[in-house]
Amino acid sequence: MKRMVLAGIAALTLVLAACSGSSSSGTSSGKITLQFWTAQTPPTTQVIDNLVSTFNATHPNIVVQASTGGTSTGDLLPKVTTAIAAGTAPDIAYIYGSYAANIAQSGKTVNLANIIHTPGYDWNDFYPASQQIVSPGGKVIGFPALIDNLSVIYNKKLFAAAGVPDPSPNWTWDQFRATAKKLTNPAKHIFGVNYPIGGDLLDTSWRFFPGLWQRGGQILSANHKQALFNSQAGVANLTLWQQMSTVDHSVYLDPTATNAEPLFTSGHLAMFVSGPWEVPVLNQAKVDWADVPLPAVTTNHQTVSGPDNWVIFNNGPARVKASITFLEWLEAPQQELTWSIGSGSLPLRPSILKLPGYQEFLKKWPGIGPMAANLMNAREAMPTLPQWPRVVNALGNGIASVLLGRATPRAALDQAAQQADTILNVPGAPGG
Amino acid sequence: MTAQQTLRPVSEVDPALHRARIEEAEQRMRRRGWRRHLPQRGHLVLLPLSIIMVLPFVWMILTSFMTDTEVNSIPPSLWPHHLYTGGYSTVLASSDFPYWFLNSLIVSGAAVLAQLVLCSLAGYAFARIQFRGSTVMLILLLATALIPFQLTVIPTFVIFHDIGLINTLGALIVPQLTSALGIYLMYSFFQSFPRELEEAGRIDGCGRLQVFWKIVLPLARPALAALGIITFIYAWNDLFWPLIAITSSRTFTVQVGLTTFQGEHITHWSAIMAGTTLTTVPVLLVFLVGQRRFVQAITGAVKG
Repeated sequence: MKRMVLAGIAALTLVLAACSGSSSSGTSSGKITLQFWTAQTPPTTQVIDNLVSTFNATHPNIVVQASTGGTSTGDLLPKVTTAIAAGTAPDIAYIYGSYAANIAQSGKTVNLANIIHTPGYDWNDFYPASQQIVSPGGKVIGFPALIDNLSVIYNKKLFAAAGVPDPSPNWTWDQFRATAKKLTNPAKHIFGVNYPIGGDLLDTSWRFFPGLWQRGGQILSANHKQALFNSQAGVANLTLWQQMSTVDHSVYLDPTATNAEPLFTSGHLAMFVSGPWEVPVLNQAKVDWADVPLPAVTTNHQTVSGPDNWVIFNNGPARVKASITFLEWLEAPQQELTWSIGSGSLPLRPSILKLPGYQEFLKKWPGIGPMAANLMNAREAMPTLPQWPRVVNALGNGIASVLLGRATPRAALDQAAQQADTILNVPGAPGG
Repeated sequence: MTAQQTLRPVSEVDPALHRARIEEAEQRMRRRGWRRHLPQRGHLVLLPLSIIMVLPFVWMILTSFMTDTEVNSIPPSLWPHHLYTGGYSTVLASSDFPYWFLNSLIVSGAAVLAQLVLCSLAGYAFARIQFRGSTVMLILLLATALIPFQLTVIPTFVIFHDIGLINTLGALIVPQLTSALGIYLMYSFFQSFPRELEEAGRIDGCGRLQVFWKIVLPLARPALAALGIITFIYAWNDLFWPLIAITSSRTFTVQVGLTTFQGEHITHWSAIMAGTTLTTVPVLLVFLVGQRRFVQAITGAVKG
């Protein structure tokens, strides 16, 4: 028996020994090794892996080790925060823009404010929304990683069947409401448009912001201490959606924020307020679709963008410098174009739209062109502050209660603003 | 421990009568066999329940042969319109799934082996060996099961990082070498184990370890099977710690790997369901092979 126990222990030790490879990164023999957590799904993982291989082949002193980091974007956050707490943060990680301020508070991120105007960084060639999201509190914590925007995707067949002409890029919110009403057909279970009221309440809130900005409203005060979304502009904006939802019954209120896409691809939703991430799904489903910018009150078609970031963590000057070198290379227009063609992501830089290869991007992802052009309407970014996730939860709940007919826009927005003020004024409040 | 058995001479029994009795017994058994397979009243309840239990698995398999568009269609498709195998080819050819599967097998296998040895030894010690503080130690041990892992994840991560096991399978195996639940399961089993059997062994000259190895463990197979199944399923399905501890794709376990098919906005349902189907097979096999022992252990039966 003793022999068997010893054999068992030996076998276990061997398994552990075999499993324990080196995961070290850092500086050895003049080479700097970087840990790069990409949080991409398999089709786009391959694209970024190929780019990293090209970089490694052309930069002998830096070895970038790319991995998804463990999982997709949302689940990567607890992993990164654990790694930060344990002092083993990666060199670069993909982080949601909405978490930028929380990550910046960790004290482990860099501040690139003094180098953003160098030629390699080419700061002014990023869209304004990206510039703001990567700079929480004025601290530039990395490079922009993704930019998107909201537009109105519509089903051309449903428009034709209802005898409604395709929307004009210059349309107004009044025309939008009338169009949604005409397209709604309870007998055929067809809704005019969608609005998410559950799941991630950031999704509920950020659809509210374009109409607010277009009417001259603001989300928060400049010092981020007071909510301003309950202004007259906010009330007018929410009243429009309230009327569409509770009077016209033309809005599908999505309780999970995931139902609208299958409803649209199945022909039960005529207009779909969404973004470029839908393009591969819509084309795969062979939906006859097109898209137009969000409507305007008069002429301003301002939209909202939810950019994400490549955050650089401070693992010593040499590794930070190498990380900057890598990201400058990765985000140069030519590499960015390769990434966009492979992944279907919108170009991060306006200059990419002028590259000869941009036509290949438009050809590979039919329908994405207007969304890329719509980036010019993404002129403002959502605030980046640690309390932001809790603020949007308060606002999202208020919006949902209005659309469900349980509160008036004025009362709901005032209550949400009161909650937001409390959250914003708690000293050292966590970001929730 | 050997016993001489005395058999009656066959010549004392009338052969014809003996054959008649055998035939009668065989007929009775055949009739009972038939009856055993006839529907009983209990089946009226069990059949619908079993359909409810099986339905998610059937749905999973059917979904794995649908395109993402079919999966997302409203009203939902019950059957694939054609046999789409893109989900399987994505999982098997375009990802590191074979590595993930092998890693899960290594981690789960090592966890099962270690827990069978260590938990049975510890459980036996708590049940049979009197030593000072044994009750307090057992209570403290069980109390550790009440602490959520989320509370200890950062210190655990730091420890494994310091010993160089982060991003290795070792980080997944070591925390599962033993468990409070496993020790308690074996402790409960050994407490109801007949002492007479052990005493008989001691009288025959066996030492404590020999008694444990030659008498107790062979009779503890139901409990060991239950522990093995529970450990395997837990280790196989574990997601949170592997998610934190592993970074490289080729070191993922299947559960972590499958999450990579879910992006910020898009979920590749076909690939996820294909991967889940492939992932479920080993768990089903383990359970099917060991289910009789498992039920015996859960119902506390000791058969010698």
